[in-house]
Amino acid sequence: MAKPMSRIREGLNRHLGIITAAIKQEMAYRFNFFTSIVGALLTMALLYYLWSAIYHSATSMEMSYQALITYVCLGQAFSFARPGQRRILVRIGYGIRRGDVVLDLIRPTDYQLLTFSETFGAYLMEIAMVSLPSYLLALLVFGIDPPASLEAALGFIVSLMGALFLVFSLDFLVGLMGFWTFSVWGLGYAKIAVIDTLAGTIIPLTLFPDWLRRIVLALPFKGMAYTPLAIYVGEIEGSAIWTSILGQFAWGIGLVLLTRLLWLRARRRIEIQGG
Amino acid sequence: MLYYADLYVAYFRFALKSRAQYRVGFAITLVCSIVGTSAQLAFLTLIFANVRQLEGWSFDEMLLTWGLMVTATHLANSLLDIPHRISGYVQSGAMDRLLVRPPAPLFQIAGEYGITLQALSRVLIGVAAIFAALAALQDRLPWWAILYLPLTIISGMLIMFSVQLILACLTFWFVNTFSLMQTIGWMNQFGQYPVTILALPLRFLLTWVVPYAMMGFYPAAFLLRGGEYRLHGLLAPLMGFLLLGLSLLVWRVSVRRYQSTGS
Repeated sequence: MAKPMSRIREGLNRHLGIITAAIKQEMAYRFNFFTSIVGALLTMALLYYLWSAIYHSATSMEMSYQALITYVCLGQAFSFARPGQRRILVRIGYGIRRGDVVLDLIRPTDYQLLTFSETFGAYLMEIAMVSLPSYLLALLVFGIDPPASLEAALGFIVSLMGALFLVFSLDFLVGLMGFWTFSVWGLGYAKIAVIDTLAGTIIPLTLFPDWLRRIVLALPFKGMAYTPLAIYVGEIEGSAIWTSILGQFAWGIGLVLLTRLLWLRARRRIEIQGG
Repeated sequence: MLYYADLYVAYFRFALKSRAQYRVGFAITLVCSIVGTSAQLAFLTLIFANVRQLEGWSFDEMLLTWGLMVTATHLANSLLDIPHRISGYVQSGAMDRLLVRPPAPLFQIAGEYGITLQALSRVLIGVAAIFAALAALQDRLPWWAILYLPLTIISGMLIMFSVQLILACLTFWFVNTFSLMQTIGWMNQFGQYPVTILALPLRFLLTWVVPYAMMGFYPAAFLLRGGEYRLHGLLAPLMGFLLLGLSLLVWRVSVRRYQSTGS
């Protein structure tokens, strides 16, 4: 009876260890945090001026100026499309290319779970060292709004976690393509494109033309940026907050399972190649 | 010259052979890279779903700016994808190998990786955008556009390359400059929009410090509006060559500092 419990505890401990190791690994690249913050602020500045110009050139717009600026600046502070965010993707991809993945496979842990723990650790670090400082600076420099309400703040945080699941599946999927491609570097561009535009990081999905908005709101990509950001600025409010988060997690779990199936198939290729 | 041409062909053949192993992968990468570029174009279109003009700039004018920018950037990324590799050579000590061989080290790096084909596919999208914009704007084009545009594209490619090379040379002084290169490279996207929408310090930065605005915006503005953009417009085709000279100078000084890793 005690056995399954102790196994779970052992597994949890193991993954806590992996998460801590990932955090320590990130700390080795402290200089990257600094450049990431500078990069985030620069992109914020670009989007700030771009959207100010768009707003002043438009006759009418579905969002208020303040909400719009808050949305795009916050989007950069918590962006999943940042260059630094590609580290995990590149790690999976190169691990497969170089054969390092074999070392991960002989570890007594599930490979997907292992990479998830690593991603999670790196993400926590990224939030603390890049996103939060960038966010605070955005409050000061660009005068963005605080969360629309207490519920919005809470929803935003929960929804960020949901976004992580979705982005992890995307990363894992792209990383797996390393089995077939020479380098995953180029694939990263597609990821950035998806997150920037389809997920609504640099443009709120609200401002898409009607027909297109209906399509993108039905796709899972919106959960990677639009959902948390729209909750924060109050575009999504009331009970809609929790239904959209529910949808986000449903997609997240579905996609993790889907990439798992792909992984189990892809794994066979390693045995053929011999690593 | 002929020696280098022969050598490049040989390098290119080897690179192609090693890539031919990954044919499916190449197709996937190509599709992804096209998706990536198209998404940027989609963003531009989406902006104009909300406005008729962006602070006085029409969609076609911005399309020309975007097209020039993308073409020049990715020409550099495909043909001159060298600066990103330098730190790898320095850190692993592989630089030794390059230095003892007769051809120029930068040329060898370019050769060992060959042409980055997926970046070339993005060049095609850029060129298509330029032609689409030119077709829409043809009444406003002066005759000399046919000379001016290719020259600015080459200059733009050299701007991109030279800025990266100068940053890459910092590797010889500091250990890791990769993220710095990424951040500055990231700023390249500022050049896709009219710099007139930016605040003055940023405009100055993009014009005179990292002159990405000279790659797309100033040439397009000069071509279509002349007058107030004359100085920048005339400087744009020269800027790349000036910067190339400067960056090669920096490279020469930096390489002299190179000390092998000793392993």
